[in-house]
Amino acid sequence: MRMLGCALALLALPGLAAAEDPTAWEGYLDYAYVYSSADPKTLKGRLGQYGREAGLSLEEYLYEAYEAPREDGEALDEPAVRRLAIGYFLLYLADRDVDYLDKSVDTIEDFEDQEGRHENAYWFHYIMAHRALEKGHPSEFVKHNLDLWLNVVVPLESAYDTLEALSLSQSANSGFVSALPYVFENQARLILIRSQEAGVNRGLDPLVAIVRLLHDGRVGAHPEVIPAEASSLSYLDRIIERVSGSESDGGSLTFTLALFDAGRYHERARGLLATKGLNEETVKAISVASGAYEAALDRAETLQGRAAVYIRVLRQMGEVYAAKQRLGVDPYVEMPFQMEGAIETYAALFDVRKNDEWKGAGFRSTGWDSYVQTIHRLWEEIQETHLNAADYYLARSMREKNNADDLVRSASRMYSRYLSFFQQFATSDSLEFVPESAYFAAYESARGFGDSYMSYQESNPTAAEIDLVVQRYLTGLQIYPFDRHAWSLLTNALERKGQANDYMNLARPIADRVVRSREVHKWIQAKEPGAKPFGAMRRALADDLVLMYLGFADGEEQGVLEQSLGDVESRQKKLRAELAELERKRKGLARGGSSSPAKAAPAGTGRSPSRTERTRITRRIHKVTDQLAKLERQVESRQRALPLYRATRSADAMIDQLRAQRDHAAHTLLRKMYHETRSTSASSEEME
Amino acid sequence: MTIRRLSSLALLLGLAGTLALGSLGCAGAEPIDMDAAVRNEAPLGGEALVQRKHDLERAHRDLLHFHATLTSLVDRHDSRSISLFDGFLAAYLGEYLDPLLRSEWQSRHAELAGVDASLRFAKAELLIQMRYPRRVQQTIDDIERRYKGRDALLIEYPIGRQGTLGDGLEMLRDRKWKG
Repeated sequence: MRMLGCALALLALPGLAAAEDPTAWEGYLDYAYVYSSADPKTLKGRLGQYGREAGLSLEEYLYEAYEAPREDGEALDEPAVRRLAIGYFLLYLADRDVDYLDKSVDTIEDFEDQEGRHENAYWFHYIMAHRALEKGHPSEFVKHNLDLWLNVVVPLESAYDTLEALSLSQSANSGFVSALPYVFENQARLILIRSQEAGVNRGLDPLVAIVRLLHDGRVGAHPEVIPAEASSLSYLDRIIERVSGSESDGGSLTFTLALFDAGRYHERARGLLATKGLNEETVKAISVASGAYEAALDRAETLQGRAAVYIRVLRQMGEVYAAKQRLGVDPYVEMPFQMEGAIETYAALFDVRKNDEWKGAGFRSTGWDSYVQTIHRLWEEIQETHLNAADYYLARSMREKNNADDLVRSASRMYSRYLSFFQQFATSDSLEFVPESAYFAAYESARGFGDSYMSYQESNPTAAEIDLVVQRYLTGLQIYPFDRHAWSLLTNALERKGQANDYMNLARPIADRVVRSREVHKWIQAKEPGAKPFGAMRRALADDLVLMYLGFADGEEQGVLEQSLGDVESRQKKLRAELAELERKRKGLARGGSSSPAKAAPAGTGRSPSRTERTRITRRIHKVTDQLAKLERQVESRQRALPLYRATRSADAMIDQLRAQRDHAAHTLLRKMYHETRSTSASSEEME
Repeated sequence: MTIRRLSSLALLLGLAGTLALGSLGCAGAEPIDMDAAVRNEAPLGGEALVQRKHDLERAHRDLLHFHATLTSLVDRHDSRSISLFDGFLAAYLGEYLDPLLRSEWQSRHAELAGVDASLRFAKAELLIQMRYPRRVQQTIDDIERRYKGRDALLIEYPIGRQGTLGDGLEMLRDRKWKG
């Protein structure tokens, strides 16, 4: 965070000396609440400037004005004690020298039991809170902040309002009341920034109340005193949004700050990844971010918090897999997380869905929608990480031929694990807890599993592996039957088993479900997104010949099928010509005994040559007529099927669209189809 | 202690229209026991009335934030934080809120009655969470006495919703032991 710009305001404060005057330090110290939140470097510069203006440094001034008289036995009055404590405190803030803080604490402790003057109470609690940070005592830090609110802010607020109503809130005579906007700002920075700089990352949760109060019309509410750009309001906004939102841990400030911190490290690692690739610096930054996420996970007490961490961690894992795949490098990146942890967290979130148990999982204040949103986001990250990881292993298998089989198995394990996860939770009674994109991802996993063995593995798959591949392709087609290439992949796998003849028996029921699906029908009728390509696939799947084409002709080059139709039509033309000639000959024989007098029947056959010829021609006519009828059926069915088959190509683009757009409307259709099929199967089983 | 001084300051503003700026915020004077005087003070008007309404509204909002925080700490079973925060709340209620709620007239004043009652209910809800059933009962008794015959008054209770004072009282009685 940047420092307060409000230090500038000090220059405009009345009564401060411009010429060299040691007593000017009194004013600088009395108004130290204006600039004490500055970062050390700026504060040091500011104190140096004041020292030059006053003609002696702050340390010299403290000695001459207060320490020397004290050594001479003089008792310091209340303002002098306060200024001495503030002076040492400023030196500590500028140099982070704990000796100065100790001196400041020793001095300000005079005000410990003092009631009354709010200025003294403010500095007492503010300084003691810093000492608590330095000592790493969160409870003490919390206590001083709560006391600061109770003993300083609460009593001053009403009075400040009154003065503000009279336009006197910044009057020189209004005393410490006018400091209230700075008190808000300083306390916000103390809780949100200084605590984190000091590494106090536990036990801060009671202070979320103060943070909420500061955000509620206090910090940033006095732009005439502290300009908006110099205020910490935007940072406070983000913290409140997090602590009150779905990425919280039941409202824990400690967790929110830890996750926020981890998010900043993550952003840095992302930046390095984008600009420098996976070099040593980037790998280190990724590890640092992972470590910060691990710390946040350690702080999480609720499932909401655990889910928030896993959502971000899985995103980071996915980014690393994608970068490794894209850049073709594979450095070791330390990431102390397992996907099983994310799946366990999902399962635990799923388990609390009933009887308001989800409220106790951290969602009491954020509500049911936030619970469902979190469970969806976690699922989506689980699915994307599995798919990214599998892609990464397959890409590596292409580069590392010696390890190809192991890498293919790693990829297939990713696909299998996602499918198991999907099958466990994507049940008809838990629709609300599964995002719609989960179904297409399940199809991608099923097909990816098959492709891993069929296309990437160096050695031949075993019989058991081929069995699994067939099963996975069938699963993929059941979930997404609109992938026309998947049908031929199924036949390829069946051919490896020598069971290509089983294709129609396996494919027909899946195709029939699409043809009979009410959900698909409604979708197409309503012209929903994808209605045209899905309609084309449905018409195709209704036709056995097209289904055969899908299974066996997918690899054919474009035009080959059209060529085969042309061949049939050509044969049909020849046969028609032959038939016409035969008819003509037979008629000739009927009229003149022989259509060709030169060709007489041989003697001794007992039949006249013309009769024998007529019989032969008649038989030939029957044969040609049969052949023509068969060819006409072939031509007719091919003329019907080929356009249907060609139309299925329009469905190819849908796959890319659904993969790229996880919120594509057509994901809804896949969910409906999946559960329609399952409920139909369940009903059939019940009837049986 | 401090609120007593501020109340008297507001009184000064409302009645005399004068302001002793030098004494503001410094609070150098000895605390004065003004309990009875505050309880029986005359209704404020003008700027002082506006300020009282503002104070009550702010206190109500603050109590809602305290409620959210305490709920969160309880949900997270953070006993150490609960203990620290309980101490703060007890002091806040005793030193600031109770004096703010002491005067009788603000419960009768048309402009303030709604926020005054809502604030009392929010306080009772906080006390339920803090497991002080006796103090909850005292608050209920106080509300019943002050708002007798005004069960239809619209208030912000239960937390985050609106309802009538009569329904709110029934809920409070039912919830008294549920902290």
